[in-house]
Amino acid sequence: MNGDKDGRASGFLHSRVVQVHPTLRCNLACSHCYSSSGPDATHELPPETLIAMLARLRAEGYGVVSFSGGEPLVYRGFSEVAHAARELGYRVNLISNGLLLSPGRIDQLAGVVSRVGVSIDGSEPVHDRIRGPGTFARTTRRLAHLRERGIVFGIAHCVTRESIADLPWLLEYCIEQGASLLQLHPLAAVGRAAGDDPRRLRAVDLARLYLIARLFEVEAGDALQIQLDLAPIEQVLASRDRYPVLAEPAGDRRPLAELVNPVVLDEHGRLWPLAHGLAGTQRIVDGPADDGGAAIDYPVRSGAAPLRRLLSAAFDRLAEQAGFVDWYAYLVAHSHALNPLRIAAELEVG
Amino acid sequence: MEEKIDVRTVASAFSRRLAAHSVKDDVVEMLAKRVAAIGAKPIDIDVCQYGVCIDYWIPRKNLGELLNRMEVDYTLGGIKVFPKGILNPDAFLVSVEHHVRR
Repeated sequence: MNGDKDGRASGFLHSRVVQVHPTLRCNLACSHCYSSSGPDATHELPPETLIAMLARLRAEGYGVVSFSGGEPLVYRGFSEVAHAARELGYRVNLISNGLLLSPGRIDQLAGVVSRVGVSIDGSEPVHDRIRGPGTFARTTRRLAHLRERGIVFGIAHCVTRESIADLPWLLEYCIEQGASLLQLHPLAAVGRAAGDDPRRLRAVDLARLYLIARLFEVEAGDALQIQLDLAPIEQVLASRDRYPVLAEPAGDRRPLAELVNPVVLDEHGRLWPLAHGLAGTQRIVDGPADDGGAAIDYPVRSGAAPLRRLLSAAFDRLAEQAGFVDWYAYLVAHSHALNPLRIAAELEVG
Repeated sequence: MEEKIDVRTVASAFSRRLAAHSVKDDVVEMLAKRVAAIGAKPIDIDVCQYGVCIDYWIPRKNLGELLNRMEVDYTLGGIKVFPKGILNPDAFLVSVEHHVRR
């Protein structure tokens, strides 16, 4: 197995994915960053700890490592860890702002990284306003380097109310640049966009984005894959049985990847189910000190688990709603709403 | 006879109008709900003075459930179902007409 698709879905994904955030340090500090990353973040996961954890997760059935952050290319151990992940049999993906993808760096990635996702926030003025003057032109030059060296890349775009108008331009840009994928991710209410951020999409904007993405599929044909991180609520509810943690009897000993997919490994070595930013009660592994051998002793296998409660409550709540949902952002928000301290605080305010 | 416009050209023009907020919110919500209910990738899109007509290939096994999911209201111009025929007896061309107020 090359670490790619298993054929059968686990959760909503076919591939079994480990999302790695080895550091939250970044050469930028974007105002919409979901992980509040920036130059001031200092903590990073030692490469040897990260490699050991990836080996354990490989034994648990995971086949894809997706490096994110922070900016993975400012993480000093990136090259070492990426090579080790490849040797473990993982397919390795990288999500980057693109600015550090120099020709020399790209040569190091060739043969190791399967796909690079580069963030573009809109046309040049919109992108530069968010990421700084000149960043759009620099990132576009980096895409040319990727193309010249034959490295497959996609464009990741965080959709805001302002950037919806730029989407047709973005589709043309992706095709012109030779991208293989356009990922459209609605701005989520986490990190620096938490709270009442006016840039977030309203319900009608989500419907608009859904239609635009379906039309883009027609328009782009086979030239470009369109990935929309948004689904009709009915479709999500109909897929409830993709989460075996909701139905499995106590004592299930299947590999973790069959029960929880994706998993998130953060800069402290903590392992989380499904999404970055879940409430602390959802943690699977506490960190490097929690080194209980090859198999990860997740409570799901011995009975009730916080994740089961979260998924069950999230699906039930979703059943009362209509429209479209960013499932993982919804889970993050719901996990915090389930926090008893927060509920108590809200009751006091009410 | 008027020449039919290529589906990609129609999709492109339509997505640009949506992105420019040139389509009313209630129309956006209605269309998104219908397209989501179908779930499949559109294979043809046609726009006329009455609204938007979208065609899909739907497998036989999904046809009944899909038709049950479609909510009928005054904006639904009609649903036409054509068997593809002996070349693929399990596929049906489903054409959904949406009446859209200008």
